[in-house]
Amino acid sequence: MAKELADVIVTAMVALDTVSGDGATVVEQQLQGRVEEEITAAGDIRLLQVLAISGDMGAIATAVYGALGTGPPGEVVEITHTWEDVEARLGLLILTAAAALDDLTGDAWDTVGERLRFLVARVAARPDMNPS
Amino acid sequence: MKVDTWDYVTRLRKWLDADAAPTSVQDARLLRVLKISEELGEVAEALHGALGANPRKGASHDWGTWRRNSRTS
Repeated sequence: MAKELADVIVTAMVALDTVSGDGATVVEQQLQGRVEEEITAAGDIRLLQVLAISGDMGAIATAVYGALGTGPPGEVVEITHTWEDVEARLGLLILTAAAALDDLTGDAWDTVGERLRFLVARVAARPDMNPS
Repeated sequence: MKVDTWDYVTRLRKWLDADAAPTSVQDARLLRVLKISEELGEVAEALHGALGANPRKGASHDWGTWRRNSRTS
């Protein structure tokens, strides 16, 4: 479970890096605007945490359509978002997933960092990988 | 968040830019956003597995620490 959550965060970070080129700043700004809310939910909070990531994903999809000005069948739709909106929502998803991972492993960024080192080493070990 | 975290992210991104099948810049963005959905599906699968929520599959996952899982994937 921790690995899968870390992979979601890594994947979202790669997407953010692709769109913005400066993911660190985006996430840092999101962190500063964040307000800790008291948990009042009954039942298993982990279910809600994972569902919240899906909610963030939907918001990202909406923003992508809005930024492209193209709907699912390829039709022209009104441009309602910018790529900066997409970046911000990617940042929000990263923080939502990090909060869930925090509860699981105690330190989401440590877990993500270890996962990243593993993934980068796996890429570097590929025989067809050009050193660059 | 450690400073070098994003350096590693950028390394992965550049690997994708260089080695993935060629596509337009715009499609690369869409693919990388869509990839999050795929990984999120695996989280949902792991959650069901950790809770034993699927009688057919039983307890197929655990909550996991990163260390325990990192060697098997």
